[in-house]
Amino acid sequence: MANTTNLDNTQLQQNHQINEHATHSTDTTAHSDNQAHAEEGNVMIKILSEHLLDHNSYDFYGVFHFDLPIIFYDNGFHFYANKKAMEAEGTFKEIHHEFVKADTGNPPQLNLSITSLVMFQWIAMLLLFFGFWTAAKKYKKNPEKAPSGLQNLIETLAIYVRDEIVRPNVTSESLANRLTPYFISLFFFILTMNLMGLIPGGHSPTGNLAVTAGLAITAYFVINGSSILHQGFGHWIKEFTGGAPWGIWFIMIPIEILSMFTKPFALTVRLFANMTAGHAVILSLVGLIFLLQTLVVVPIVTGFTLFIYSLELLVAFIQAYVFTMLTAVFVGLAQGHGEHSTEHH
Amino acid sequence: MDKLISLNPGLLIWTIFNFLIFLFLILKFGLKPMMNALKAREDAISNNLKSAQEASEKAQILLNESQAKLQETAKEVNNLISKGREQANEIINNAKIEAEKLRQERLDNAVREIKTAQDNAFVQLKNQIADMVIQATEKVLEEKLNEEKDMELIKKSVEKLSKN
Repeated sequence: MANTTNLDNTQLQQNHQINEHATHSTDTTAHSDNQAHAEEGNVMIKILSEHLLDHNSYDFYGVFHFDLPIIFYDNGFHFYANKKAMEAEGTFKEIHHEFVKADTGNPPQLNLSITSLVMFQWIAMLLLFFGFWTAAKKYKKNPEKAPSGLQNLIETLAIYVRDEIVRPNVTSESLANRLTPYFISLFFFILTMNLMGLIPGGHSPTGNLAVTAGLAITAYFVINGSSILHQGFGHWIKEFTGGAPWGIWFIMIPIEILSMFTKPFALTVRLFANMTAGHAVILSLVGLIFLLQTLVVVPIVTGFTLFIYSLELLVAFIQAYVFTMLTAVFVGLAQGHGEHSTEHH
Repeated sequence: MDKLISLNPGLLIWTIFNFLIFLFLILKFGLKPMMNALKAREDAISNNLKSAQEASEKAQILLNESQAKLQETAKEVNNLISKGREQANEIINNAKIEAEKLRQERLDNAVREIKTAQDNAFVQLKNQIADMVIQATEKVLEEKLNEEKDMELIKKSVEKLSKN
């Protein structure tokens, strides 16, 4: 550890200056002790951020590395093949891992870059598309035959979503039939993205707030859209009273409007937190070895990591199920509340 | 770590865009044939179940009918058997009675014939005796010339008789 001798401190400081953060480390030797601690922490955080955050490049354990295209919207679209091309062009530059405009120093209005998580979403889409496509070919070729192989796996999960998630919650049969494809797609999309984080070198797009928020926003439109299309706009407005007598409308209406937004928010945070937590726990356990600087903890850490990893596998399925299930529950709530309100109140 | 809980609007837009594309692709190329096939299969299964139900109901009806028929037939057969038995008994009884009658008749006839034969034999015997008496008388009458001869004759006749 760095807090032992002066020699260690100077060594670490040398290392520090080789580091790309060298510009920050122009401190005096008096602060070098604290700095070394910060550096240890920074390494852990760097590893953590590499695994959990979105990047403009993909790195496979340093074996291979490639930059991803950059797209900005700033009074018109700007396309760059990669970071180097962007810096060569000169309109934007990178300062402290942030892209800013070269002249003003402000970030671009919208960063639409193909980040690593977008790439992994596409990989998930491709995998699923080919999975469904091969299954569909089998269905077309031989519709009467019992499913087999990949087709069987997809069918089992799809039927599970339809019979155990959509139909019990969305009571209207016609609406349930119309929404089943959406729920099946949602379930498979989330599940695949969840599982991708468990593959070596893979990242879970669902471990990012923007991704889960995007999915929750589509869920928000499905929940309210299905209610408006199926029950009519008037009914949708009436739902805000919660079927309560007019005397407590002044409480009910704000609550119902708030709940309209808390539902997708809960979906967003739940999926994000669950996916992030598992990765964070695994990385923290591995980090324990470097923090304690002893190999004694390795068996314990490996055991725990293995346990958390299998738990993650379970969580990947559970969270895909929960997201889909809750969306179905909310769709059902948005439908049936008014019909039964007279019985309850 | 602020970045971890920051929300990148670009990625959000990409996610929505990707999901919509994905939904479209899956709907068009994957789920539609699958849902159609599933629906067809489920319809086929429910149809099969329904027809099986109907068939089993029909079979139940047929079974009931055939069981009723079987019972009727069994009853008829029983009737026939009991009737046949009665008839057979009657026939046997009649036959017994007739046989008894016939036997009695034959017995009577035999007795009667024996009696007539006996009677005839007696009559013949009487006639023969009478004839012999006449012949003996004739011979006696012819031999009346001497008494000695008479005695001889009588003795001879008696001997003959006893021989007979």
